[in-house]
Amino acid sequence: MSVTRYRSIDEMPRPWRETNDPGNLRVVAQMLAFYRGLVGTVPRHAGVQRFRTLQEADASHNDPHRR
Amino acid sequence: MSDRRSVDEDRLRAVFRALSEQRVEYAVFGAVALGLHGLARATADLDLFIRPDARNVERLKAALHMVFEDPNIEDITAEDLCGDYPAVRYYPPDGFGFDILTRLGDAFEYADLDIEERDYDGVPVRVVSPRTLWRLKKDTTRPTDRFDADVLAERFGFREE
Repeated sequence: MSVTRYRSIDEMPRPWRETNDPGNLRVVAQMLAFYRGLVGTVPRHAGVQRFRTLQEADASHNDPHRR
Repeated sequence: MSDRRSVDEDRLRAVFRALSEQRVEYAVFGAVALGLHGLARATADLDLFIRPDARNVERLKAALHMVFEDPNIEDITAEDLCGDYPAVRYYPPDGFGFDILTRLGDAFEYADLDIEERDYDGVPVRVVSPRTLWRLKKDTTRPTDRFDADVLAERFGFREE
């Protein structure tokens, strides 16, 4: 396989798939599992939490003390 | 790649089937929508924008009950979602979580969304259009949203009006 060089990561083409590719659902499921693999050791709060804004909800993702 | 479906894929399919069977008015947005439009990145949750009315919230709960045996689902209420708490996070006992939204600040309500209906091997999915996803992400402050907005603009040729 040949090597392609880039001056920065911004020059690299994005790995887009076709919008109507039926495999996109499978890839999304893999990305959900991948994320949990990355943060798998962080305990999470099972159940329902409510927030006044999405920003508030996002901030709770970053709280290392969240249950 | 293996042909075997993962637990997450089976669950994702089950969730979308249940949402359809219960006739929930919803649209996927966020990173899962980006993935459905062709650019996958890791994400914690399935983001669902739902129409804010009590019957729709009950239909959503019925759909979740079809997939998860979890009494916590009853803690999702129309009073919250149609009132002061338009963002609700639900984590089932295992697997991926859900961010459920009825409005996004003062900028977006369900009625503002352009929604596409897709079919993934017999699984119906309602997802915001690429342009709506770009509009949802482009003016936020979160770096990942800015990145997503930029790549959507690049891919689909969106420009500021």
